[in-house]
Amino acid sequence: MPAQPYLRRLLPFLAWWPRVDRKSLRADAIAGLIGAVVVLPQGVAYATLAGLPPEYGLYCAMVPTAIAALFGSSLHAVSGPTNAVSLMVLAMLTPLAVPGSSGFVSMALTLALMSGLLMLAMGFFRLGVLVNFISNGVIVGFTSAVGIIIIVSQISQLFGTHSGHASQFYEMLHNTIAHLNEVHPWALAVGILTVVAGALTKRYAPRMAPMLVATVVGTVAALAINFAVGAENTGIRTLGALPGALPPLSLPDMRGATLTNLLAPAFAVTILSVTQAIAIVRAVAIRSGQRIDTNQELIGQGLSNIAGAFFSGYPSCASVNRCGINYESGARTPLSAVLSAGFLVLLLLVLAPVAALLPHPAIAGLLVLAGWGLIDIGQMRMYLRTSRQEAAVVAATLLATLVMPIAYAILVGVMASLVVYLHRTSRPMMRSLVPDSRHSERQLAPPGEELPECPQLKILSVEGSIYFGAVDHVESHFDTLRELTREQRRLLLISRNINFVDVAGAEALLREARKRRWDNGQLYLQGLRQPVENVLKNGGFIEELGPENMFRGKREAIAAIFAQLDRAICARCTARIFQECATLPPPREE
Amino acid sequence: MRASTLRVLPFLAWLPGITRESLRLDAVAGLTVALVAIPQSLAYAQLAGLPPYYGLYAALIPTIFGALFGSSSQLSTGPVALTSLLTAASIAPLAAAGSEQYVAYAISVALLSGLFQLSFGVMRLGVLMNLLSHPVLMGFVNAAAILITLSQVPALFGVAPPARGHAVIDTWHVLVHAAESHGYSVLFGVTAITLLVAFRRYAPRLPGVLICVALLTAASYFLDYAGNGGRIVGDIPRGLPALALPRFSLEAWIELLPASFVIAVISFMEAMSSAKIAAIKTATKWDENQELIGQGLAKLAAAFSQTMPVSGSFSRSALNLASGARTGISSIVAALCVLLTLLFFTPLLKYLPLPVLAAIIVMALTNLINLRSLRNAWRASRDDAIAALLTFAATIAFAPQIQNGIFVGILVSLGLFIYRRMRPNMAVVEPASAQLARETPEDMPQALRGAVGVIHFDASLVFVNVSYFESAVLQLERRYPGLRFVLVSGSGINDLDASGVEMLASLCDGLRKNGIELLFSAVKPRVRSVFDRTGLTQRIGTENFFLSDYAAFVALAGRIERPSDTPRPADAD
Repeated sequence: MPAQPYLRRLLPFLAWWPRVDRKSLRADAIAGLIGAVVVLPQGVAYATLAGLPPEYGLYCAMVPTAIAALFGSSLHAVSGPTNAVSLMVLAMLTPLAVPGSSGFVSMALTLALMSGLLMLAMGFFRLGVLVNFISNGVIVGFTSAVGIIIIVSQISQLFGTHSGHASQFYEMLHNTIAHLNEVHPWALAVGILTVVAGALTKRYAPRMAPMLVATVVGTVAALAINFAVGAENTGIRTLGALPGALPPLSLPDMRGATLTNLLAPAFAVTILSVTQAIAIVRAVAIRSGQRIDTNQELIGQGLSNIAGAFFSGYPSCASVNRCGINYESGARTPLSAVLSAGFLVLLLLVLAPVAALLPHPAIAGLLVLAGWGLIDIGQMRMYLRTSRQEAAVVAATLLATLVMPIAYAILVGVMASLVVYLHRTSRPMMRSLVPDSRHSERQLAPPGEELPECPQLKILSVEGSIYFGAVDHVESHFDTLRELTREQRRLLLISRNINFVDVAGAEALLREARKRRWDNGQLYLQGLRQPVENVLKNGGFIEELGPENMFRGKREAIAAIFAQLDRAICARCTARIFQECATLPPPREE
Repeated sequence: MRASTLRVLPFLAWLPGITRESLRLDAVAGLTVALVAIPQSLAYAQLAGLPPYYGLYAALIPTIFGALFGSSSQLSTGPVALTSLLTAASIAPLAAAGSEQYVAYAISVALLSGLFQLSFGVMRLGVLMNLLSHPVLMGFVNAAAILITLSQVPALFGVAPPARGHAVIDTWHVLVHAAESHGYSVLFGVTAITLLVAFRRYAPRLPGVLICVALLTAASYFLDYAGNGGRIVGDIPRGLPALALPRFSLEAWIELLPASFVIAVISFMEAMSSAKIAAIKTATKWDENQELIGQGLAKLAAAFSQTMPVSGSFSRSALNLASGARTGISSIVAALCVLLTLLFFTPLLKYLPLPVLAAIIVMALTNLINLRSLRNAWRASRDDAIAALLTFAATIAFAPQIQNGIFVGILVSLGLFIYRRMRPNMAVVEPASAQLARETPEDMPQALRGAVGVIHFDASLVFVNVSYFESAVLQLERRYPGLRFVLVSGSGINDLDASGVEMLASLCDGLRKNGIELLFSAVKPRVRSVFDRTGLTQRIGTENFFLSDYAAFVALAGRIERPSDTPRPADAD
C-alpha cells in the first residue's frame, strides 16, 4: 500500500492499533485507571493554580488527553493539565482579566486554540528541531523558578488568607507578606499536614501516588477539624460542588483585541509545552526503546490543544509524573491514556460529592509539593560543577523568570545559552605538536624536553571551528606565533579536528598565508575534512592558498615541506626531528 | 614605561618618538586630511539631520581625543557617513530634523554610544565585536549606502526633504514630481558629481572635494543661487562650540539605548577595519580594546562639545596613511585646521549650496559598496550569503530604523551557525559491519560481532546536538536486538556541556536497564575532566573508559567470554 506512510502520518494510531489484544488491553486498562485516580487531585489543583474554576483542570484531562494520545508519536506519553503551563496561564492572563471570571476562562480557551495551532504548524513544517536551541540549563532554571513562584503563590491559600491576584512574582510576594497577619491556624494546620503527608509518601512509598495520599490526608484532617471545632470557626474553605462530569462544549474568545493580546503568550506557551513534551517523550523512549517522531508529537499536542479549546480544556501539555506513572504501571499502548480519560468521567460521577469536600488549604499543599518537585537542586549543583558559564545561564534564566514577564523568560535563557555557547566555540584549542620519535607510528605529541621543535616549521593542531566568532582568537594566536618564533616561517596546521570553517574563517586563513609569504614563509593545511575543503574550494580560497600546500597525510606533508626548508639552517640544526632529516649530513658546529 | 600607564595614556608610547622629520610629515598629512574633512564634515552633519556646522564641531575636539587615546596613530576620527545615517535613523522618529530637541537627542546618542564603547574597551569585550560577522556587515553596509544615496535625492533635486517616511517612498515621491524640482539645484548637483568623478579619475592627488566646494561656492555667490531659491549652508555661528554637560533625560535615554548600542558596534566596525589596514601597512601592533577606549572617549568628547557621534573614517584614514602620517600629531594638525576654519573662514562657507554637499555624500559611498565580497560569500557558503542577503533586505525594509537590520542579521547568522551544528558529522559503525574499527584484535571472538556498535562523533557534545547523538544510539539499540555494548569513540569530541552530561547520564541508565553498556574511548583530557567533575565517570563506571578503540575491543573480548556476568534481562525472561 503506497499511501500508507501518509496515512500513518495523518492517523498515527494505525501503527499500534493492530497490536492491541486482550493482554495489552488489560494492562492499559489498569494503567488508565491509575492515571485517572492520579489526575483527579492534580487537575483540581492545577486549575486552581491557573486561576480557573477547578472543574476545568479535570475537563483538560479528558478530551485533550485522549486526542494527544491518539495523534501523538509516543506510546506512553500522557497529556493534560501541568503545573508550569498552568502557572504561565495565570501569569499571562491576569493582566487581561480577573482570574476565575468567565472572561478569564474564555481567554484561557483562546490561548489553548492559538498555541495548538502554532504547535500544529510547527509539526507540519517539521520545526521540532528548534527545540534544540533550548538547553537543559534553561529548562532547569526555568522550571526551578516556576517551582518557587508556585510555592509563593500558594502561601496565602495555605494560610487561609485572601491576598488578591497578581501576575508578577514580586507582587505575589508583597501581597502574601502584607496579609500574613490574617493567618487561620486551622487552615494552616491542614495545609501543613497535606504537605508533610505528601513528602513522607514520596520519600518512603513513592509507588503509592504521593499526591493522592496527601489529598486524602488533608481532606480527612479538614473534616476532623471542622467536626471538632465547628466549620464556622476554622476558616477552612472547601471546593464546593463540581458541575457535571462531562466536559461542556465551549467557545474561545475570538475578538480581534484578544487575539492580538494573546499572540505573545501563545508563543510562550507553545515554546514551553513543546520543550516539555519533547523532553518527556524522549526520556520515556530511552527506556521503552521506541522510535519517536518529534514532529508527529507536536501534531498530537497541537490537535489536543485545539480540541481543548472547544471541549473546555485550557492549555495542556505532556506531564512528567503522569507519564512516568503510566509507564511504570505497565501501559502498552496510548489506549491507556484514552481509557484514563474515560475512567476520569466515571470517577467524577461517583466522587463528585467527595470532591466537593476538598479543602482549599489541602489543594494549596498539593501545589506546594508540586512546586517543590520542580526545584531541581541536584541539577543545579551539577551545573556548578560542570561549568561556571552554564551555571550562569541557569541563574540568569531563574532570575529572569522571577523578575520579568514570564513570557520572555525562556527567550532570555536561550539568548544567554547561545552567548555562552558562542563564547566557548570562539576559542578553539590550538596546540603545538612534533612527531614523537619514541612512538612506533611517529604519532604527533606535544613538544617537551626530549621532543624539540623544528626551528623552521611550526606544527599546530586546531580543535574546533574557525568561524566568524573564533577568527579573532585564532588570528591573534597566529600573530603571537609569528612574533615569538620568527625563525619558524612555515606553519603546518593539522586540520583533522577543524569541524567547520566559514567565509570569515577562510579569509583569516588566507590572511595568515599572505603574511607568511611576505616573510618568505608558507602556510600548509593537512587533513582537511571534506565539508571544510568544500567551503575553501567553492569560495576560490584554495587557489590562493595554493593546492600544493594542501595535504592528505602527515607523512606526505612533512616530506613535501622538508624539501622546501632552508638547508643552511638545517645544516646547523641539532633537533633533527623528522625522518627525512637523516638524509642530511650531521650538524656542524659554528 | 609601565603597561598600566600606557593603557591609560597610550599616546606616551609615540610622544617621545617625535622628531623634526615626523613632525613635518604629520603636518603635511594633517593639512591634506583637513582639506577633505572640512567639506565632508558639513555634508555628514546634513546627513545626520543636523545644521551643517555641527560637523565642524565634531571634527575638532573628538578628533584629538580619538588620536590621543586610541591604539592606531593613523586612524582619523570625525564625522562619518554610516554613523551619521544611523544617528539620523535613531532620532528621526523622536523629533523633527534640525530642531533643538533633535540636536539634544543627537548629543545623547553620542554620549550613550561613547559610554558603550568605553565600557566594552575597559571590560576588554572587544572580542564580542566578532559576533557581527562579515557577511552581515557587508549586507548592512551595502543597504545603508543605498539608503544614504536615496536620502540625498531630495537635496540633489533642490526639494525640501519630504516628511521622513520610508526612504524608497520618499525617493519615489521626488522622482514622480521631478518637474517641480529646482533647475539650478540639479545643475549644481550634477556639476559637483561630474567634478568629483573627474578629480578622482584624472587627478587623485589633488584635494578634489575642496576644489569642487571652492569653485561651486564661488559660483553660488556670484550667480546669487540663494536668491534664486536654492538652498545653501547659511550663516554659521563664528567661534567655538560651547562645552556643556549633555542634558539628562531618563526617558529619552532609554528610548535611544538600542540605537546607541548599534551605533557603538557599527561605528567601531568601521573604525576597526581602517585601523587594521593601517596596522598591517605600518607593521605596528594594534589593540582593539584600546581602540574601543579611544573611540569611546572621542564620542564622549563629541557629546560634551555639543555635537553628533563620530567614528574612525575609512576614507580619511586611508588618506592620512597615504600622505605619510607617522603619529597622532597629524590628526591634531587636522583638528587645528578645523579650528582655524571655525574662527576665521566660516563666512566663506555661507554660500556653499546644499546639493554640492549631497553630491559629496553620494560620492563618498562608492567606498562603502563592495559587492565582490557578497559574491564571494555566495560561492563559499550559502549560509553566509543568506545572512548577508537577509540583512540587506531587512535593513532596506526597516528603514529608517536601520539598526533593526543589524539585529536581524546577527540573529540569522547565529541561528544558522547553530542550526548547522545540530547535525554534525557522525559515523555509526553498525555491529554487523566487517570492520568495526581501524584496528581490532586478531583473536576477537565471534560473539563480539553483532554485539558492539561504534559511534564516531565529530563535534562538541552540546545542547544543540545532544538529541541527534541520542537518536543515533537509540536507533542502534532498536535495530540490533543482540547489542550489548555501544562504544563512543571520543577523539572528535572537543567539548561537553551540561546538557551533554545530562543526556549521557540518562542514556547510560536507560541502556543499562536494557542490558547495554555505554563505553567511551580516546576521550580528550578536557572532556574527561567534565566527566570526572560531574560524577558521570562513576555513573558510567571507570572500567568503561579506554585509551583507544583497540584497547576497548581487547577488554570487550575479555568480557564477552564470560557472558554470565552481565545477563541481558530480555534474554533472561
